[in-house]
Amino acid sequence: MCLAVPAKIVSLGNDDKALVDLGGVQKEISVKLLDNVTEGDYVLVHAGFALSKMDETEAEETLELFVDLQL
Amino acid sequence: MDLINGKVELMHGSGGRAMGELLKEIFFPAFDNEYLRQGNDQALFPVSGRRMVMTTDSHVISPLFFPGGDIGKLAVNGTINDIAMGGAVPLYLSAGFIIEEGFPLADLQKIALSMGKAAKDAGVPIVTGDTKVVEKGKGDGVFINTAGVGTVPEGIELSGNKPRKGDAIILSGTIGDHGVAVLSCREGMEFTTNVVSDTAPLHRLVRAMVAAAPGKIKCLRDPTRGGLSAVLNELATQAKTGMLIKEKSVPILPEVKAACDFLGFDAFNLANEGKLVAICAPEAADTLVKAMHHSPLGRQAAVIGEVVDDENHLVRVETVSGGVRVMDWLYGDQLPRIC
Amino acid sequence: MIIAEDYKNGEKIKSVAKLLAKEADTGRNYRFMDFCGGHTYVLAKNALEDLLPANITMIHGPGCPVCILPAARISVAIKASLLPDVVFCTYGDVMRVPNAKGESLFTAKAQGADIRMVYSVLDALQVARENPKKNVIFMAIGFETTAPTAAAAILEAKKEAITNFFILSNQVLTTSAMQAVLAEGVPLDGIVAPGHVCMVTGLAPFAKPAEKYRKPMVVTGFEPLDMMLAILMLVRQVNKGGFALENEYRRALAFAGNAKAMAALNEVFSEGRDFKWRGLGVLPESSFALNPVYAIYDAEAKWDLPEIEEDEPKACECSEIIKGLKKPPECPLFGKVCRPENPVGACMVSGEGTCAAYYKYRRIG
Repeated sequence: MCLAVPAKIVSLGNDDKALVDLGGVQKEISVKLLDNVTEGDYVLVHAGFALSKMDETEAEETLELFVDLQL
Repeated sequence: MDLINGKVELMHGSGGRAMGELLKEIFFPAFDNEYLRQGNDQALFPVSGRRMVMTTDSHVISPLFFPGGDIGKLAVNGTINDIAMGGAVPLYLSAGFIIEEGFPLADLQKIALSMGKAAKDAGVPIVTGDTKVVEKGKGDGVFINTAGVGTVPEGIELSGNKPRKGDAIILSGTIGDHGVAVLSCREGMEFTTNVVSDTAPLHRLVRAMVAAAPGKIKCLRDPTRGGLSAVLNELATQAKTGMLIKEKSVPILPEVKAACDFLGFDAFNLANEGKLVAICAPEAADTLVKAMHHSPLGRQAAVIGEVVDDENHLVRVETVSGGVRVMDWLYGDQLPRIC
Repeated sequence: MIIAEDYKNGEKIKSVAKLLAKEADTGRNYRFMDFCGGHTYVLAKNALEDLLPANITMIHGPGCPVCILPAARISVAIKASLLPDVVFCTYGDVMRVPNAKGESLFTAKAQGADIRMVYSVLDALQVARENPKKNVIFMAIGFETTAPTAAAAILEAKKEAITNFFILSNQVLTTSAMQAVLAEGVPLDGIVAPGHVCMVTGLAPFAKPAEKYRKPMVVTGFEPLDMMLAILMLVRQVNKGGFALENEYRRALAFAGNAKAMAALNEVFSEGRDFKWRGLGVLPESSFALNPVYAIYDAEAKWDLPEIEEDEPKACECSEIIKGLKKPPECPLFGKVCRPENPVGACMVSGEGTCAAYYKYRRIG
């Protein structure tokens, strides 16, 4: 439904603009709708806006929940 | 003629002296060869061999300049590749220009020089041409048509109706590079990446392939507009077979994958301008892929799947997780999506 | 981010499939709804349903904001695009959606409308800045995820006193649709809930329907492994006999959502307007309307763009399919009259519509 992709904040600019990188693709987006964004953060980008911060630890933990149970 | 700040005017297409000047200043030096120097309305050239191929292709791309190429280079390589896909040796090209009034002469020269270089690099001269100018608003900068002829060596019979069950499907390299390079500078989409267009003439790769596996190649196609999915579906329909492709065998640059994620695109549908798909007898696949690896344009060649029986002529993909889905082809252009 | 790759990893996906095979109780059936079009797309594109045990059935829900646009709204958009001195901006998704007469924004473009595809609403605002003598109308579609972005653009237009920027709002609420599906009594054992809506709204709006209808729900991400994990989590809930709201997508979602995006959304829009959904009919208070202070940005207030009721195509089973009561091949039009190049019903329109995803990736014959 709502296409959103994880990208890394490369640099923050004026007017809540930011340059993000997703696997070698760089694009200017807006961080107007997200609080406390800093360079190096991973964010989810939807329609040109960062809407959520990604948490790498949580990602690993979600995976680990299932690792023990692997056949 | 002011090649730095000047613009194309209607008189440049009128057939008068202004047009002569345009040809003399821009096109003749850029394309220079003995056939063009004949200076006639037609080029006279000798032909050996009994079977010839001819093809034509019009180019209307926007933007005209993109990472890794421009409309001129594309027009030369595109027609060379259409000839090469018949297993033929491309010999001569023609070039027709439809230019919009007001188009900067500097850009026209840049395009002409790029075409001249592409033709020289490929060893296929542009031997005749034509120029027309249309009123401002009736064109989009410049449109280029190229036509080409070539000869087919003895014993080569390539056709899309030849693939049979068990044949190997080979791809010469990464897919989607050209599509992503062009999208990256299209208005409203702008993004930055290192991906450049793969536009390249494939006739030398084809020559090496034909030599490596004589009689074993069933057909060749270049997956341009419509991408890999369109070419495979066309071939499946033409050969009245099905195809099974292994997703993980298809080479795709990580940046191309990323751009697809961003825009909601499918890399199988993205355009390529320097890649080919070959279908060959299974026993020749290894030899052919090895021969391709020795050619600069075939370094990443890989077997990506096989021809299978299927009365519905569907192309299917085995995904990385082991499921199987249909690889459909687009009805129109792929559009960026947010949902 | 290395982790994103992990969630596409074929081997990990296969190992979850093995767990599913082991844990799914062969003595019963599991019927789960993947509510979002995005989830339907992930299932189809990765052929994940091939990996599920035979007793797990996925039902594809109405979570595609393009598919649920009724034909009459497309006619309004076409009319707006053809107004004099108007530049009409839209996401690519809407371009091909037909009205009852088979007309789309592509048709309008061919008639001379100045229609531009944009990646973001901010691109449309930029068009307004660059063309002060034109009126720029932005076709705002989307769910709770996308609506804050339109709100942000309007707040920016207000700040810069831009007066030639308008929106045509077709933004709707997933919670209304979920409520409608559940109230219909569709037999379901659990729901794969919309991950990207929750990154804005938080999980709370889905706690209510989970509780009220006693349905296990798992808020889920959009990589293939996310989908498989969510199905596993649902199976475990069903086996235990509970109905909790769980979060598989913890790497992206705070329970509370995004306060800043919600603040922008609530400043500009209210959830006050009834909206007719393709397939679901009129759902009360199911769409976002501009608050009175921002009414000057409303294209429908500025121009007379009457919405004329259009009949949904006959024989089309979209409404049953959107509710998960039927599968695409059960519709008599599917793959015959109704194809992506000639969509009859909503579900065939967008790439992630249930029928389009089926046709594109699962067609048989």
